[in-house]
Amino acid sequence: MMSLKEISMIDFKNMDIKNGPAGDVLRVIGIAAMGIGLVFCVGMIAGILSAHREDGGGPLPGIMIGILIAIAVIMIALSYGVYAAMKRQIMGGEGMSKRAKNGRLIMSILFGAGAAIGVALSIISSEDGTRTAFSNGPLPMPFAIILAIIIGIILPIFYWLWHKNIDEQEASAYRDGAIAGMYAYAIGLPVWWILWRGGMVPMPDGTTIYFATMFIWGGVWFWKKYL
Amino acid sequence: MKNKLKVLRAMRDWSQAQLGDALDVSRQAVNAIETGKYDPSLPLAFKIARLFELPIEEIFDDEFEGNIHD
Repeated sequence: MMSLKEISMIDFKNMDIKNGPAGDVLRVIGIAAMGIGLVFCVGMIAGILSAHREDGGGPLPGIMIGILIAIAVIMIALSYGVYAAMKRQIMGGEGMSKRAKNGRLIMSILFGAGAAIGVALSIISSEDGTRTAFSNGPLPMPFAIILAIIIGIILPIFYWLWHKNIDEQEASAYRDGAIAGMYAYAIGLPVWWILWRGGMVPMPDGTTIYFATMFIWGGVWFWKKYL
Repeated sequence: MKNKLKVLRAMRDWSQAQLGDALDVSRQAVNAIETGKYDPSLPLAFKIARLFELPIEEIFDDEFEGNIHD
């Protein structure tokens, strides 16, 4: 057992950055940033190819091939970065419980599914000229059915498994995030609607409201869980 | 709520991850309790007390000094 003097000399804050709370925060931020970067790169490639088709198609000019190769290289680097960070985040450091590993694995699957849906929407949306993943443009019916089944039936199973594997502090952080998100929705939407009726802002947009709510929910969860 | 978790953990030379594993909670949960950002539930507080073989009130301090009937 250590003496009180020895304990007072321990630098708790900097004890272990890679395996400690600071490492967790940086990794989660890094994974999210690299995931967004990947979706952005896919959108860029789809946009470039779509613009080329609209200009008449034909063989790609050298400069365009060079740009596409550069984006592909960036995507490979980002993919490896996401893989390495997720592997470390899932495996964790010494002494990480099986329950915590399960929770992180399920969270990683959900992140991966979200990124894959974003990439798929980017590619499909670029074909009808809207070029953004979350526009209100039409989608091919089979694709819409598959996505609806994934989002409405398959992912909720993983949500349930995730809730079974998180500890009480994370559950508390998640509830705080849900309350903040709900308040943002309950206050933000009527304010926007009233201002729209007053002719001051564009009509309320469901996608924007959804993402704003989720952003606040996720942000508060992250703050309460990691910071 | 103030607590002595960090000191008790250090006296046993445990990392936050090791304590989290013993309590079946995450390292972040241990960190949040140690820094006073999260107050554990009663079942978790009892689990902590049993692990360190101490009464709950010797680990957690609610800083209440008055009479309960006040």
